[in-house]
Amino acid sequence: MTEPDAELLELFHDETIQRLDDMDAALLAAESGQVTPDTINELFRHAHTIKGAAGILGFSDIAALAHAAEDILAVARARGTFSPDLAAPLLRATAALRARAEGAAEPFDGPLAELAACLAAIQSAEAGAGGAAGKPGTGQAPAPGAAGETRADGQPGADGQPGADGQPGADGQPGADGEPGADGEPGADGETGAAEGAGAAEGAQGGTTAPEGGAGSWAAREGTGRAASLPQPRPAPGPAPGAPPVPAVVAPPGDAHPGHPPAGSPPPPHRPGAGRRSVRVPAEKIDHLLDLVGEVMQDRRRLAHALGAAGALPPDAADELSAGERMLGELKDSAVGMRTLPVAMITGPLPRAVRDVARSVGREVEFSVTGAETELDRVILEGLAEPLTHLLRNAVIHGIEPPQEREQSGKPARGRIELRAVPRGGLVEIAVADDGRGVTPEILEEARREGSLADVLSRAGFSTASEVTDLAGRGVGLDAVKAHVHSLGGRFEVSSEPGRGTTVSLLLPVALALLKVLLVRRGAAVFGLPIAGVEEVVTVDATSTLQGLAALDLRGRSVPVADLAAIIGATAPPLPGRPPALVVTAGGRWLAAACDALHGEEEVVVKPLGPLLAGASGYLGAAILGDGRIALLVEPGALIRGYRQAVPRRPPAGGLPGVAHPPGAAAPAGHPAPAGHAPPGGPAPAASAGHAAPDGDAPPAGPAAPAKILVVEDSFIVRELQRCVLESAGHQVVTARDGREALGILAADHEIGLVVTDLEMPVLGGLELTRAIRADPARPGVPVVMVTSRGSEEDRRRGMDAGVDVYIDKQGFQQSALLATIAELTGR
Amino acid sequence: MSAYVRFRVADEAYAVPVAHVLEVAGLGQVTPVPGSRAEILGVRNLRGKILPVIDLAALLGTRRAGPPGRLLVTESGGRQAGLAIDEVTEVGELADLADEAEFALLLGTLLEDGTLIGVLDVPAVFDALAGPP
Repeated sequence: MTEPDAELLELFHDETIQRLDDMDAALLAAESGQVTPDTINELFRHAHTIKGAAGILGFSDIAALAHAAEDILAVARARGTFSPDLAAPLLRATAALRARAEGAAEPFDGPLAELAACLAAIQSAEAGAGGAAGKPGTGQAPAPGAAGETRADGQPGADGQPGADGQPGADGQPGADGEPGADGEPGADGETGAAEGAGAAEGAQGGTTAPEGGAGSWAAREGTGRAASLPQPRPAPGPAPGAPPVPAVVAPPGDAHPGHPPAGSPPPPHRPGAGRRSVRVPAEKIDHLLDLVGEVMQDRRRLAHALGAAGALPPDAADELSAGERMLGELKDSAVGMRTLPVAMITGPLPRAVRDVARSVGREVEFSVTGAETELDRVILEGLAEPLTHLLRNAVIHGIEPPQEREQSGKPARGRIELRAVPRGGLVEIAVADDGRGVTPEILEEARREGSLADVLSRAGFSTASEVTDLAGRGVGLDAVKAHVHSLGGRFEVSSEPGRGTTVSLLLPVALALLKVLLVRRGAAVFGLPIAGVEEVVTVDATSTLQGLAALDLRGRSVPVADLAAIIGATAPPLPGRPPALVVTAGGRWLAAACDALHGEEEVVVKPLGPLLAGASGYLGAAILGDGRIALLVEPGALIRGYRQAVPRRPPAGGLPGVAHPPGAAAPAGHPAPAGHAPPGGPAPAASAGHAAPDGDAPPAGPAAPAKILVVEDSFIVRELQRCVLESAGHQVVTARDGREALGILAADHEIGLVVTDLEMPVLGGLELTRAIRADPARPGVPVVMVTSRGSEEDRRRGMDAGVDVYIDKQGFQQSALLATIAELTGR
Repeated sequence: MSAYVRFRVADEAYAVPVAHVLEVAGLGQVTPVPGSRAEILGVRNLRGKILPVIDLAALLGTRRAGPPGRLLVTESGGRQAGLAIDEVTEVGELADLADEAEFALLLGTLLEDGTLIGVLDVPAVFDALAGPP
């Protein structure tokens, strides 16, 4: 295995080169006058993405140059026109970026100055139309001096970090070693002209223009003898690459640039990625490979089983079998390895985020990341950035005490938060640990009574902060994180010691496509439950009943027992005597799901059920077993939800440890509706009698039932947050991740009485969604509430034009404001 | 004139444009998916892929005497599903649609040799099932 940094860099390198290729093609076309709004958009997007990726990796100079290009393209995009004159300076910028990617180390002063001049020129040309031609040239006039100066004073920040004052760059100055351009700015146009075709032409025509000073720096320099490499991003100033992870100190006094590469640090002597090329492969191809590997493994297991059953194997054959098994294991690991990326991929911005939160609430925090080289499925990893940020935020705000309080209790004033990733078998544990105040003894006691701390803390609406500072209280967010982890087939745990700190752990599968499951049979069907989600397996012999419901005694805890088939709404013959049962827990509830037989543990290939079965929630997907049969993979949390929905409807008949399920009713609900809340269309007698649900979280008294609300939001944290807020007010909530999904739901569900939507979403945004709703004659006047962070007057007006009823600013988003707005709109 | 696969569901005649048909298969072993809509019989393994199986009779509101016999594997917009039908009667050309559809799931109807044929709107069938139950 190579070190993760190298892999990350390679990925960034490849993507950047690809984008630069695309940009060059578009710029060359634009230079000859072939430009469409799409081209400008595409250019803008590439520059924007390079900037973002570079920023995350800590290449602040690359980010700065991409940003400068983005600024120019933003103006062009806004105007809808692209003057051919703009192509040349932008091409020089892409060439400089490409040279850096290929290993050159020159600072970007030249291209930066040129782009700045160019931007100033087109901005000043805004008023006086028509004068744009030739502007870039004149605008550059002052630049030579400027460029010369910056370089003369020892290249502040070999990393080109603008504004990196106080960071002496003189030491090491990597670009200085024998590189032709570094010492001869004035004449650089001549030298580079010889080396680079396009660039040289620009230089010649520009004559006295400044950027040529920088031109020397962007000439590609393959063959100068230095290993081609990207600058090494170091999360923290520290020892040589390959040393154990170094804690990235977050808010030590005086360290103004955590996460930035130290100025002038010499390039590593040897880069493992040097000279190695990588191949871009579409993700589907890798998925297919992984599918096949998984199937071959299952096939092989079946073969081994059949051979074993046939009798004693000759020793040779047995050896061959196990050798093949080993090779297959390696094949699987490398196939999985193609889909995985190091956790470091998403930890880049975290130190900064922790620091910012800590500063805003007056905490001192030392943040460290360990195990960043641990690998996880790319898709899982991408979905993890937001939950992790949330957990860290929680740890700072709710975990770490103010400095004085810490000192009074004999702790160092600066709190510690550690993010660690540790491989555990087929799983990876991602933990956020703080040394803060921990939970109170009362909460621990409650956790002991109810099952687990994770359950108590993640109960919707639970917050450990005595004063609720903002909506992201600990409870609401944890609930969302937990639901997310469960949906991946993972496990969520919390441990805490009063006064000593809290650790939140997410146990996640390494690869999304492969899942270790426990296979069980119920009736004619085989179901799989992720191993991570099953607490234990018990045999149901002695059960007692309470209020007519069966329960078993599990080391002093009374755990309800129900028939797996009844819970998920399947039909099956009665259970045998003393059936096995899987114990699962979620939301503070425990449940033993009884089945006919256990089929053992297997690593299966998870296949999606597809869009037509999206309505049947509670499944992680399906797996095809060795004999060709399909096993549905059940999310453990869905069993608890299914049981809670099934129980109030009808007590079990007879002595069977089961719950009768009304035929045809929807089984596991897609969301944990508050207890006693009538499920949609559910034949709950209480609901049909016209009363509010009998027990528990009955909606506030009112003449009509609360509205059914569709929440459309691409950020899962915000989405879950809104769902919690609305559900706790008694509303029924359906969620969608983008406008198109929302339209699908609206078409199918005519009970939806109100839509709460975000503005910016992939696939179909909030404005388009609103227009589509307004254009549909089938649903006139469904109120639309837009909740967004882009609260400019212009956006507000566009929203209103599209037909938005109320516009709520995400920044100032208040629970009560949203609820009041909804009450008003629905007339309740 | 366009090419259609004609088939029978209960005692009614239907057709679907060949462009939407991937293959005709046996019903195979269908695994029910508890919690899904009543019009979905379940999923089956079609050469390593999970294929949802739609009970077309239930969706169209016709009454069928016995279990369906064949599976019409259809595709639209990247979505695939098997339509459980009784039997395929013919593959061939049909005259242009006579009437606008009066039914949500039909592109239209036409009369041939005294038989009323409903032409199925495959994307509409998929859309009708895609939402929550």
